[in-house]
Amino acid sequence: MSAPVLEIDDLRVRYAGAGRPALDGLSLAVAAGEVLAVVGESGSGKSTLALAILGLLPAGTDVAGGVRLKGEAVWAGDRQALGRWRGRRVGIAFQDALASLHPLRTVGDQLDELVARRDPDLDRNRRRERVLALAAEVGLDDPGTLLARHPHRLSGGQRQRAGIALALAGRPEVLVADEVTSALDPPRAAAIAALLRRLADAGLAVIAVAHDLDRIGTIADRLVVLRRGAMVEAGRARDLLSRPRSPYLRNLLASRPRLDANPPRLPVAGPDDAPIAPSAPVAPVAPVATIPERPRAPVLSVGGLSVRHGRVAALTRITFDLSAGEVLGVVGPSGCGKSTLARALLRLDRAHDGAIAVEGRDLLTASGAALADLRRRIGLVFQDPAASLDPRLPAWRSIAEPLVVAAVGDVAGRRRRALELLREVGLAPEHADRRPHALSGGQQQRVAIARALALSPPILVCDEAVSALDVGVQAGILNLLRDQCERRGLAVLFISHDLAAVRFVADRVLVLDAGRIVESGPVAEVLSHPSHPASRSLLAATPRPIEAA
Amino acid sequence: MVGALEWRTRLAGLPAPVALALLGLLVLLAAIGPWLLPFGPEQPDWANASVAPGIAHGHLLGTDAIGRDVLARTLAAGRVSLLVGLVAALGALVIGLAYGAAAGYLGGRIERAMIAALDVFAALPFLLIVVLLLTLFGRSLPLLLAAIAGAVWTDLARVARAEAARLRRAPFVLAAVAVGASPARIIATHVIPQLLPLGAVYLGLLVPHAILVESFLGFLGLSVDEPSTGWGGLLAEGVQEMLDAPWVLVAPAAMLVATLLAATVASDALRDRVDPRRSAA
Repeated sequence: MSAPVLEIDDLRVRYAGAGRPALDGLSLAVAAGEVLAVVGESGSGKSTLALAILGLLPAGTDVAGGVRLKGEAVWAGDRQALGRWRGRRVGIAFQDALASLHPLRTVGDQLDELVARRDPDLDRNRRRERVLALAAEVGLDDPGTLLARHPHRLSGGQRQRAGIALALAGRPEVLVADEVTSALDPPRAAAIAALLRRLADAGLAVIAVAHDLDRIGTIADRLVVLRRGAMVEAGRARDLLSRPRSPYLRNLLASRPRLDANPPRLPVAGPDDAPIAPSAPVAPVAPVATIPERPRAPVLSVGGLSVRHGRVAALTRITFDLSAGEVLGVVGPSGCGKSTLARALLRLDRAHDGAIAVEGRDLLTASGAALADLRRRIGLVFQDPAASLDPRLPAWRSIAEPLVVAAVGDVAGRRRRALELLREVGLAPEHADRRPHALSGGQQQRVAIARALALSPPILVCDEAVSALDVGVQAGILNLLRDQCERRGLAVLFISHDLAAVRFVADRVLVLDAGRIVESGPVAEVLSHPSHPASRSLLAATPRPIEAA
Repeated sequence: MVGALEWRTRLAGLPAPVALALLGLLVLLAAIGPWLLPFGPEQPDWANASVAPGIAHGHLLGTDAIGRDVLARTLAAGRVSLLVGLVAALGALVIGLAYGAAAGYLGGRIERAMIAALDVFAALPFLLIVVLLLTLFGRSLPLLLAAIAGAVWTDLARVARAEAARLRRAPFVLAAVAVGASPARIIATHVIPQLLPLGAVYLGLLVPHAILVESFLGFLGLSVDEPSTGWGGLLAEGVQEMLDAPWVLVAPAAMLVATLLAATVASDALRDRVDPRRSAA
């Protein structure tokens, strides 16, 4: 390794009013031409590290320790030094590129401003050249058009490239990339990861903060694993991912769903967020006798469903059946219509054409009480667990809400049922009276699932239900979904862009592209021998775990 | 960014805790002051009519032309103004929250129609109409309260609408729609409770606004009936004898200004504390 560009020495960070430090004595170094990946679950302090390097932590935060650039100490308390440091020596790109770009100015203008700030002597034409060079560097094709656009008119991948270009505009020596691939679908995430690699190969020192081990493993030279603000393990990425030394990393790696294996249950990493025996779901459960044998009538039948948003066709002639006890995966790139499908199935989006039959009854023509009744036959789980619960309501009240709306039972009865459901989804009675902010992300998602199951619907629609969760927590939720299918004959529509999760949880899969079903079939078959280019590109962009040599 | 709070605080030279303490003192004075004074607000002291503020004759802030104690009248009027202001502001709070929540949550054509109605309402020369109504139908407390609430509720309704529109897309609201909850139920159980912190903060701004409107109407002689008049009524009386006995005007005016200033500064500070979006450096 060449001489380090950026060194961090015994960095300690404690947020105002926090009990335990967010970073507890972290030391690391990154050299030019290198991608250093910092990985860990939520709360591990990895984003705190990214912000600390740039001196972006909120006022009142306790920061101790040193950050040195080429041996020169950077003191976070000196505002003027910080101004010279940010952007010019170290640039940062964020997960949510749309939120980090100025909404009212074109991307080109924003880049131009930073270029001018770096080199005030450049004239207009020279600055333009520099901006075009930046656009080329981050792979913004057709810069003439894209640079004249406002951020909201760029696609997710283009925005992320623009965000990285912004971070590079001051020609920094170090780029901090904070979860820049996390909000993107597999093809776009793969392209952005490749971009980071290319930038490092061109001589930049890159610190990539990430939670997706496989994705970051494809580009990282070295890996630092954080847990609760402390380093668990560090070393060459390839070695660490193929031969993890710490039990923590080993568990984390083992609990990922994989494309090339299909275990009945996922091992749950570390102390799961669910307080009851972590290994419990692994025990085989006896199928309930009431589940009808195959072939069975579909509980959900969709025929020729088309949905338009204004003049744009969001879904075109979608046709599929879903049977009891079956998990149907729906995959596709961003904007393919996956979420529109979830909303249309509950008539939250208006269907333009086609038919949806829930247990043989037509949903699209139902109205009033009949519509409410049909909607109650479908449970819905969303991506963002924090946003899917009313922040003021204790868990049991959220779970009981469908019962209140459907006028089932009295208060005592509803509370009893809520407690029953809590146990069903792997939570304890003590969680019943907690509000969402006092629950972890995984626990919140379990509560959301309990609510979706409150009226014992035969169908559950999960819209990216595990995408926002950490690996270990995700494994627990995926196991839970499989349990519900096998034990209660629940039919699940599992919408996700995570092919590995779909591979684990689903029996069949639909591939959506530009609002149409382009391929469907048993999950093992479609994901091992995809025939349509859209499925192939999704699959090709899904990182494979690095195996022991 | 220099917020409204900072600007006003500098203007008044009044830090928020001082404003809060001053407001508390003023309310306390109005609440219990009249009991502690030796003179009733309507009690004439013929021997000391139109005396200037002083200690010797016992009238600390002087008396008016018919010998009524100015301090006693100012404090008693404070009760009327504060009470009418508070009740009217509460009314405005209820109307504004409900209207805003309904418009924002229902969305679409209903929302557009409700906003258009709000715009028309806000564009009317409302106080002129109130003056007309009060003159036509005579003064009555319910009409007065409705008039004041009607004058001050629109800003809150707009803010509440924006917040409710954001909630319309929240997954937990969709989850409720998906189990067949009615719009009325969702507005009542999910939307309005989320708006309550906003409402609490706005109440602090509505009360001084309502007091101001009450005083305006009182000044025109359209507020609560004699003899229990508010600050506005006292101001009108004070103007009559402004040249002979300026203290009759100055005392209620000072009290009114102090109350409005203290309440506004205090509630601005409260808003900055509650709403993190406004407190960023």
